[in-house]
Amino acid sequence: MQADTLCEIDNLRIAFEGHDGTLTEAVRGISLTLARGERLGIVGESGSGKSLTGRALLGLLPASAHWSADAMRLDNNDLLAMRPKERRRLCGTQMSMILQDPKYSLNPVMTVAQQMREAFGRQSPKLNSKAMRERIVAALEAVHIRDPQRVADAYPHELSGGMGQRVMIAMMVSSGPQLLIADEPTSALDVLVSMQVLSVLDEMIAKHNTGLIFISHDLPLVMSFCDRVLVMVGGRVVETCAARDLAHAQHPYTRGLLAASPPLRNPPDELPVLQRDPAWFAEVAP
Amino acid sequence: MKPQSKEWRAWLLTDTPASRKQAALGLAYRRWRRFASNPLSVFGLVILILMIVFAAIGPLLPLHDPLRQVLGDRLLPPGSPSHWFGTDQLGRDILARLVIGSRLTLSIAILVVVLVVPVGLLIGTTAGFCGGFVDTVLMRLTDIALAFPKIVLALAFAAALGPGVINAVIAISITAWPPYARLARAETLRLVQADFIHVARLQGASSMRILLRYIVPLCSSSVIVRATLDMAGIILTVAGLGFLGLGAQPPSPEWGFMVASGRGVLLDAWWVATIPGIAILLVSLAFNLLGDGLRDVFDPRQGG
Amino acid sequence: MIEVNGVQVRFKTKTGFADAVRSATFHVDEGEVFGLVGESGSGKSTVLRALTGLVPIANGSMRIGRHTLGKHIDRAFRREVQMVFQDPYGSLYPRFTVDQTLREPLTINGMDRHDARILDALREVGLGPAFRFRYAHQLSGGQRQRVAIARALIVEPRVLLLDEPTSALDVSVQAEILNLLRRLHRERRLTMILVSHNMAVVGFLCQRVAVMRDGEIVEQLPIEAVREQNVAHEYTRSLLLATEGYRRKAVDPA
Repeated sequence: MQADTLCEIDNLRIAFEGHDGTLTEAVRGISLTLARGERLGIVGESGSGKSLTGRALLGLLPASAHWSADAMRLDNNDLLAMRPKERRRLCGTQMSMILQDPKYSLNPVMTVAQQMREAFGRQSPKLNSKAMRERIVAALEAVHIRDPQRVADAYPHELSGGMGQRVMIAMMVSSGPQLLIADEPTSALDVLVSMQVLSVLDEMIAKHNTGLIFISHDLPLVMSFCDRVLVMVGGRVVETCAARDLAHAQHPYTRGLLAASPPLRNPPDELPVLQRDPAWFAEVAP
Repeated sequence: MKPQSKEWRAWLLTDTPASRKQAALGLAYRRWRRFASNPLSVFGLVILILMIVFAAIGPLLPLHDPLRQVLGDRLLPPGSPSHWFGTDQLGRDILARLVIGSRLTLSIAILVVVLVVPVGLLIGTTAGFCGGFVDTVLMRLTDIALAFPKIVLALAFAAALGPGVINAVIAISITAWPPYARLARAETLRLVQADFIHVARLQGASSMRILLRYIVPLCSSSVIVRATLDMAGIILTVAGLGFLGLGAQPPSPEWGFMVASGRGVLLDAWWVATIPGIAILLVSLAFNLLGDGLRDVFDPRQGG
Repeated sequence: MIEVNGVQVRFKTKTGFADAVRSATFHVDEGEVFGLVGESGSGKSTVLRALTGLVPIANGSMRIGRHTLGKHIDRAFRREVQMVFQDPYGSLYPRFTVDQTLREPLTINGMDRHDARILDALREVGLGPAFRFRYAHQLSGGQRQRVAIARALIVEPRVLLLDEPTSALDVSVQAEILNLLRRLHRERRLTMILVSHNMAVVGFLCQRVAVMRDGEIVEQLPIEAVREQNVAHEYTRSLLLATEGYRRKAVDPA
């Protein structure tokens, strides 16, 4: 593994068992590498397998999933060979995840401070309660929350969507993990609030030089936020390129996806419809 | 035969049904497949089917007369040549009493459910749908009914009208419907927010149509599942009433009463009370397993 | 065709009242597609629901065609105005096949030739007769929205209200539905109000746009002005900027 490669996945396959025992493959041989501090976007529509890829890295796949990979490494740690306990130790310290809807990803029966205490307690177990409180408030200030004392003592349902996501970022990113996986972090938010949240995220990961895997269905957004983009369809990667080169993408799926968003200026009479090639979804790679 | 059954399967599971009947049968088949994938549920169903069959054909079977007392054959143990499950204190064949008694137990349980479920469903959905004053009145009525303890009410009925099966059924029914009303009301309150109800209103559907055609069918599945799970409880309550002497009267071979009358000889002749007890256990378990299986089938997250 | 004048919608909360819509005034000409843009909580969906009579108004007046919205909504009004909802997974009754879903409005309104109308409606939204007897859970999100559109149009309304019809769909499916809506608008000469948080979607279908924020309309403008970025209010400007995507901060190679 090269010196500045942070994360590597080789030939990841994930399949699910149906009622009658047949296996349906959701991810069919994904390989990717992430350099330190690099931002990689994974774009795909629903059912493309992009979220599953992120969860596989963290070991968060459901028990009914059958998965395998030739290699899965984080910064020289072999994730496949690790015992679950060691892998759990990596989560939250070296790698973190933020999810789509803070209503569902924050614990509804604990205040923000209680949850952050749990999260920070694993990284710095020696802090006493006063120091911990200061740490929590500092983390909330770092994500530009104006009234951190009030927010710290609030319950998740009392916070707006954007505020909840910023709390998630404070919990997961402020300690500076090596790798952050963001699974549709702004899909549940309004567009202006998304911009604010992304700006906070941008600042945080730049500060700690965190590697980012940004999973989304929004191709233009990923193009503007990330360095490199992977396009997934039917469980496979069909295109990999630098974000700025995406406008000249080769694969018909990527071109179709780019053309499907209605442009604000000079919209065509009819939007070009993405032609789905059945080969993309076939069992064996075309 | 094999190619034919494959054709049937393909016809039922097709993605593009060509008629409403085909679509409905296909849905029923898919539900059956999901139910049958759980062996415990199938076990419960089999037990119940066996019980119903025995109850139905009971009188036609070559069994002893359940009411005939042969005092010379008292307290024969199970395994005796002509009495497979033994006899009780009055020389009556236990197997025969069990089979004939199953008719009683089953009919009481079904009667209660048939009375209680529609009443609870209607009251609950009306309360949830209308809201306001109607809701308050109906829910307070439910609370009142819920406050009555079953056994005490049955005692009161027995004192007023005399003991008997019908009175036991009435007593149980009066106190059994409130949970269904509450369940139906909770489901209705959730459903009333759904977009498809707004759509129905937008199309000009009357409130009655929305209630009966949209809300009641969706509430029915959870109410029915709850009813199968409660069957066990109802059977036990009937048995309990029989045990107290408030339900079926002697010489009726009702299972609860059999357990009660076997109490006196429990130490010497364990089978007189225990065998009907095992029967009660088995049937309650079967209903529970069936209810569990049905609940999985009707899980809305999987297109129930 | 549609006139909304000083409409206020109030909801009762635990602590008093909340105004979902403070004061909305706009009009829509016949055959026009009008857009209502805003973020969540702006009141745009509430305005739409008030127009259908599903939500009562506290103040102001609303008129669609000859009908002024009042306490009593008659069935003739119901045939004139129909709505397509946002969530494709919640707007179809789960126990109905597509056939039954489309038959309901015909039965309720006492219309004739059910089978012919159903087949026509399915064809018009691009679904073949193969879909006729599927249940809702056997359809994809895009297919469900097509059924929802077919259901809305089968009673031949003059006004179609759309509450974020493509927000829950993938981008490629959204393109198909937007094309469909455009075609239907042209062929049937419908008057449409489209609610969305996405400026680009509104820009594709609408001729005029109203921008809502916190229950009020902050700006109304023709779509050409939006395209040329010739907007007066700064809130509209920030919405337009956000459509262009994220602007990355310059990273200091420190």
